[in-house]
Amino acid sequence: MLSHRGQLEPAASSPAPGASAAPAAEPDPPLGVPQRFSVLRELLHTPRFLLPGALVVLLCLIAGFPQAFAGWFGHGDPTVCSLADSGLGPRSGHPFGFDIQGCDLYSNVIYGTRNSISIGLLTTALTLLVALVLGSLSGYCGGLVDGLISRVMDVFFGFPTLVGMIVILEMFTVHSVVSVSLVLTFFSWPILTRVMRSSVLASRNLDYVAAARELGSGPVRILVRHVIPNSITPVAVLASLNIASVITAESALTFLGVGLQAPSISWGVQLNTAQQYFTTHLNLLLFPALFLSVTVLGFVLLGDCLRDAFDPELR
Amino acid sequence: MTMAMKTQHLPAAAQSNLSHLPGYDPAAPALEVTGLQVEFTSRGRTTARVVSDVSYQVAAGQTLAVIGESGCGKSITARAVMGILPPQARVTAGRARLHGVDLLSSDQATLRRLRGRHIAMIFQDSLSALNPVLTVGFQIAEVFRTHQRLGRREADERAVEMLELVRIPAASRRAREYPHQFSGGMRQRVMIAMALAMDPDVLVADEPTTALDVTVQAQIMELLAELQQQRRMALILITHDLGVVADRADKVAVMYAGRIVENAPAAELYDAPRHPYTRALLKAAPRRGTHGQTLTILHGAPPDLSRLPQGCAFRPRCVEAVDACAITPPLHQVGPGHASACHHCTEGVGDD
Amino acid sequence: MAGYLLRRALMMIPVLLGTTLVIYAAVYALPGNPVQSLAGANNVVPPSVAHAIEAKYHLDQPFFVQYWDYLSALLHGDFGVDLNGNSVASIISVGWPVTVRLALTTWVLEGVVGIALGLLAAVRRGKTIDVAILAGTTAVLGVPYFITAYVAQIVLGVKLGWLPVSGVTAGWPLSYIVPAGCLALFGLPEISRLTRASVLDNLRADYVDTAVAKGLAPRRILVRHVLRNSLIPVVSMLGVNLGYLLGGTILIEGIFNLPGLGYQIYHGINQHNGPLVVGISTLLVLAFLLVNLIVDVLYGVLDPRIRLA
Repeated sequence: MLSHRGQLEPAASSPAPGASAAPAAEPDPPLGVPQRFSVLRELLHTPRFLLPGALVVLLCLIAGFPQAFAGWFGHGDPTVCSLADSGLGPRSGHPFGFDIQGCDLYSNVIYGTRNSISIGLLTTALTLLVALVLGSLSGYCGGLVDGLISRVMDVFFGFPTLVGMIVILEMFTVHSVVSVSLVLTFFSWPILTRVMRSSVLASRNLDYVAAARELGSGPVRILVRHVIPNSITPVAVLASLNIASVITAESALTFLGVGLQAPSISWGVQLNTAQQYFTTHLNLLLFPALFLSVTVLGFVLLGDCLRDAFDPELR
Repeated sequence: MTMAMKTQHLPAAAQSNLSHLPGYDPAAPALEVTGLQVEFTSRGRTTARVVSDVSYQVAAGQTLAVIGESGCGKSITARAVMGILPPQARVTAGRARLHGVDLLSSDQATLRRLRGRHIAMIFQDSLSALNPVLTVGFQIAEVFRTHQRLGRREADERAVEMLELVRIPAASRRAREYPHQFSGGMRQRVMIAMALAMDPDVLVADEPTTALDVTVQAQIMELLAELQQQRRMALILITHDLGVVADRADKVAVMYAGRIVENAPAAELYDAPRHPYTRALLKAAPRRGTHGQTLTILHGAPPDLSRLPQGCAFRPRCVEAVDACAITPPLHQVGPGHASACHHCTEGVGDD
Repeated sequence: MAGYLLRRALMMIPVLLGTTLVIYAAVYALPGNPVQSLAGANNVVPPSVAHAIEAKYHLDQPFFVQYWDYLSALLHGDFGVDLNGNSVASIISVGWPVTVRLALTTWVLEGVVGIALGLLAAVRRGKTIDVAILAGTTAVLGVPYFITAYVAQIVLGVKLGWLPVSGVTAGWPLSYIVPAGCLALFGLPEISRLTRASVLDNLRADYVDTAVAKGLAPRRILVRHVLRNSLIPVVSMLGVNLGYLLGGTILIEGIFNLPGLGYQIYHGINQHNGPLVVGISTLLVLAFLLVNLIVDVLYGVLDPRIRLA
């Protein structure tokens, strides 16, 4: 089935052998392992990668161990609140001030990192898993399996995603990190799966895969040893960008009231509250928004950098 | 078409735009390349000299074949002349004279008037060389509209005439079709029609038949030869196929690792090759009479042009290499119109 | 061309069935009392309304009968009744024009500006303007558009008073400029980057070499040859973007008080008015599918290889 719609990122198409006009003495290395490692090594030395990379690592650390970071200014417990302090601005010991409940805003924002990043990582991990399995099956087996999976993908592509997510989340009674992640995965899987499928389709016909088939290797072995390592690059690159868009989507859903809900500590919840008060209390909007933006940007820049690094044309 | 007819269909002003340019000399060869040097820089670091000191010439009505393995620089040389090098490449020395007018030192506006009009090029992969979203007729008509300022209707009519000239049946219907609707051989004819629209003095054909079936190859070469003869056009045929060369070329230039290693009139090249590389190429080609014998293989691979060793580039693969080969051999004249870049070539005739 | 259109239209049917089935299943087939869950845990549903809904949707029937009834009702334009007893269809007919105006304005804005920026960045690759556009679009990607919407509302509307930021009293285009601008920021970076990448890819293509070898002027090559090829993936993305855009109207109409369909959903969610949310969502899905069909037509116009496959 010919569908152009999945090819959203031109550089996410499968890696191609080296540029035609360059003077090459040795034949190009087979796509996959040797190329990737040398590129990665090169990558690690550029600020373009190091800066967002470091930022992402820092954010993950904050998400994993918020206690370590929240206490920096002396008031690390986000649940210690006093209505008398409601809405006060930044002051010593409370760099972001207080929220409407009178809780320290800084520690709340720090703890908010945990939920957002967890959802981002969990959703992307699940989406990658689905994309890997379905994309490989679809691309490698072809025929009826491919037809069926592609048809299902089309149904999902036919959905305005935010609308769909809202409808489904409306129905859920429990809004936890896991349930929100599941819903987000439910709507994110088609894009990555489609890219994986194209990638597998392209590598299926490579000579050494055909050779492995001739030598009698079973399909699972071929898939795991040859096809998947070869096609995974564009999908892996998209993972970082995927995390960014998931975090944004989650914040929008929570902001609307269908994602995580109070008493969960999440930027979306904080922004939701800030709606009503931010004209008088700018800090309520500013700090969660800042953290959210910086997080998303970090992942976006990282993803961009990875994508450009693996684009053979730019080398 | 006779010479008289050739000039008839061009408006007077367009005829002489080449002759107005500095250096123009009607007695000079149609295309003369001297001392061309092209360098590649990748990511600002390594510089590779892909074309070194390449010189060749071709006169009106002559066919020059440029042969060599992939990566030897034969395509790059042609692209340098046409001005369509990839962005990492630069011409660092040399001249390319079209009837005496140097293309490499002319400004862009002049070059645009000359390209397509006095010198044209056709490419190996006709599918990617043609724009997939424009009709074939449109792409040919463009040439007329650009160089002769013809109106739309007239240019379209001329485009159909060109398609008929290259023997595409139902030309007026097919002119409205897209490249992907043609077969490989037909597409190559379209490219030829496009290139010959303005009756250029020189046609550069970069591996025009490599991607085609053998029978179609023969048809295309036949067509090219016929059109060339009719128009007294100079033809540069870039190929790695010795069979094609044998039938059609007047002169041959053999390239290796960015240099010309031998040039000779075609017959002489086959009878008396004077460079070990040429001899190896000829030996490796299967021919009548060799049935049942082992093919002589040329071992090894062409060198990495960014790390060229001192001396003769062919040395590592050459069976006749001696110590003297540590110095790069210049082109020695070994006969009228025959030169070879080998220290041994003055020593006597090679076997075969 | 007609064949291509027919094929695309036919392919839409299973997708249509699939999406309505998913929506319906999500709402009415999950365990628990659908009427109560539609109303949310906190709302009390008056028994008369509860019975009306149950009867209307045949909630005691087997699932596929329910679904079939729901589908046939849909095809007759009957979107059911919301928790307040109002006809969803009548609410839709009031809100529809506003949303259409917002969506189209945004779409055109992000398309035109996105393509222009991408083209500019591509032809001036590596220069300051390219870097600036890239940096600008990346920055926009980071900040969620609903934040920008609030800030814009305050700064442009309240503090500076330049443009109306609430309601539709100023009519089109004034009332829609700021909302459309904010919503466009959602899709703009992607369109711009895709255009840039696509143009750069095409500038390297073999047919450009041929065009140069023919002696064509650079402007002609860019406009006549490169642009048409470059726009093909961009048009495709614009179609997909519309999906996200329709979702975005929910937030934007809510924030800027534009009484369209998104606004209804926004408040419907807050009030846990399930049937309203579901009814309008279904419509949006259908509209999206239709627009995709139109985008496919456009795609066929641009790329003859698709149309004449």
